Amino acid sequence: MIYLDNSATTRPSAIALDAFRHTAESVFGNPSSVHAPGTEAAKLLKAARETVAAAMHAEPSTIYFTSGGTLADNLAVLGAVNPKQGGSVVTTAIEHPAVKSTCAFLEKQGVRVTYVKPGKDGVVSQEAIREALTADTVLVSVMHVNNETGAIMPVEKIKATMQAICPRALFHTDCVQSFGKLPIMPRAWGADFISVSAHKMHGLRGAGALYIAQGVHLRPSIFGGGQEKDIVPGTENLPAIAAFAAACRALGSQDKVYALSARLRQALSAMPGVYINSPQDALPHILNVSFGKLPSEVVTNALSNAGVCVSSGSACAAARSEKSYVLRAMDAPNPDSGVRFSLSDTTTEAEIEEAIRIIQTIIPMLMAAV
Amino acid sequence: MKEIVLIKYGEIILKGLNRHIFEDKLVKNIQHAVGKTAKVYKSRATLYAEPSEGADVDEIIQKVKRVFGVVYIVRAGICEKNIDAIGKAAIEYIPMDQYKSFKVETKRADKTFPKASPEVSAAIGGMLLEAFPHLTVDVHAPEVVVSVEIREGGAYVYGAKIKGPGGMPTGTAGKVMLMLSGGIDSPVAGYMLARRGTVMDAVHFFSPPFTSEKAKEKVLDLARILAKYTGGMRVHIVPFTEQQLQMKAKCPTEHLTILMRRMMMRIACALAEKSGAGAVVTGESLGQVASQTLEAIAVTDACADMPCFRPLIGMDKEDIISVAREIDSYETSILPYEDCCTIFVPKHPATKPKLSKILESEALIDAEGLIKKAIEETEYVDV
Repeated sequence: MIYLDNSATTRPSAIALDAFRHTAESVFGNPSSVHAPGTEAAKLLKAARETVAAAMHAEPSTIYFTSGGTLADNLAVLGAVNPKQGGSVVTTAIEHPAVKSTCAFLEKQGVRVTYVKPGKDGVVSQEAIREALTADTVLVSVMHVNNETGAIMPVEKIKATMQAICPRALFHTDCVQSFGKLPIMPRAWGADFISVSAHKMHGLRGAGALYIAQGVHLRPSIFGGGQEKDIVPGTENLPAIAAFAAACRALGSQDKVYALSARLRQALSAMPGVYINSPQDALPHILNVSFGKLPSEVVTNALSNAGVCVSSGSACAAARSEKSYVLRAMDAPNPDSGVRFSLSDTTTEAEIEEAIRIIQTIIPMLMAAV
Repeated sequence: MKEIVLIKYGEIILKGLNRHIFEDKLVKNIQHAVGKTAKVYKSRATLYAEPSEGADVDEIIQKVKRVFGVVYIVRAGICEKNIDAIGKAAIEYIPMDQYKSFKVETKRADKTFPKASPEVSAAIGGMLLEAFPHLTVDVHAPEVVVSVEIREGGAYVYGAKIKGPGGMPTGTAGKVMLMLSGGIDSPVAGYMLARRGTVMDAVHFFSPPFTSEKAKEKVLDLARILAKYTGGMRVHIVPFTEQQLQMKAKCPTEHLTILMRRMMMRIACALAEKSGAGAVVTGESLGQVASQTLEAIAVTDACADMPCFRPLIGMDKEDIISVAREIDSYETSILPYEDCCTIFVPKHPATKPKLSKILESEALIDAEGLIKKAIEETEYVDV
């Protein structure tokens, strides 16, 4: 099996699994308990927070552990906007459903939401964002890297753009696809909220984090026993959090991915009828390709049968068999044909060569058949 | 209070000399459905499911509700055979506060009981009126009939009846082969035939990579839902990619749908023959799609060498959906693992195909060879 669906989820690393198992077995206390096992758990939680904070170039006090990217996105968007107080939201037309659907929910509460379209390269430009901003904008949510195309948004320029038009608005960026692959720079970007997830970087599902800038108030959306300073109540998923921290410590160079991705892009581009949907300067971990008009599912099924695991668009959308709104928003020529190859730092050259060989064998036959 | 489940059946009483065969089958099917949670037996024209110690009566009723041949089910409280005990049981056991009007009906199977049925009814009615002053008696159209059955072993008291699925006991009407697609219609068609007492196998055509593993899993899930009613099912999985690709390559585009239907029908008939089924069942409904016009059905039927039943033929989509919801298949049917067969669906299919033209198109491929190959490569899953 050649696993090229790392943007859906990554294989947990051995070090993350070890941390998970060790914590589940030996540090099983509730961090809120006062006895020895509880104290030990609280210590581990503190250490994990420090590790994740360091990986995000942030202070430990700004890191709130969540169950993953979706919860982090929901807490940020819902907590930054109070429908009763008016105000509008500016986001992009290509956000992950965790942001997109939460914005749609706010719209139902009467909040005006502007979905800014990307250019043909899949990038939502600083200018396009600026045009959408108004004096009553209270939240701007722009993802760092798009999960379907790998397009990188100019998140470092957005806060400055906001200063002139809506200086009090808050800025959220979903960094689920970029964390561990590109530097996360909360202060340099002026970000108020940043969402990340462990299982996209060789951690396990069930852990993620929301960064909340110092001094920024977030209205809580869920209620419980006070954990994570009342922002994310519920007993901490310590084994997954420990694994998250271990995955952060193990983060390595991503250089190899650039070469492998370039090789894959070059080989696929050379095939007749192939169109690369990802922009040239996308995050190399994601390569979105259309094979003529072959429906995405046909390609993903065929490659799956041949042992190559890829997704059509995003895995979340594939499960619902929704056509890609991302490719549609960027006016891609064959938006129903997008296939996403997503690489990881564990992907090998041999795997990429074998995948290319399989694709070159199977796809032309399919394209000829239909 | 000790409880018992009474099960009434209707139609099979009509079956004359075969009647006991049907009844025995029904007892067996109910016993199979409830397993060890109850003991099922027959007495006169009523079946009884006597809950085992500690069994959940609601669960027993849920299971009996899926057994074909059951017309209605009642959940009765058992009490001592005297007026005070029966009255107390009626007051405590039946949720009378839900109703405004009622009447009491009494059956006295135990003729040694000192009071006649109308006397019992009057006494119990009086006690209920006293306990629930808001109630009125309505002998013509009561909201609830409070039933009292006085039997050897005790008095049974019950209120509302629960509707059963009706139909005939599974296994009394032979075997059929259901063409199961993964949509909303075919499970309903299977259900309708199962309700008439058939056992069934299903046949599913899958075309990787144009259909996914998940789509196949979904079909198996639907088969599992149906199997709860039919007591098990074998699903024949027919690989159908090469057949479709050949037709697409060689035959006129507008004929593809009908040619595909004909080939599926022939394969289904052959598999039916092999597995001892006497008919094919499909979920077609007249005029719903291009392959379901009268002309298209005629052309498809022309190649069938056994009866093809289409129990949904006269039903609207809404009717079909409401049955699908009832039998719990709807939520699974609408899961989105659509087959990508759209690739093989012409934009403008022939809606009034002529058999002679279709036969000409069919002659362009080696239909016999393709059918033989499909049957050879067929695998099956028992659910």
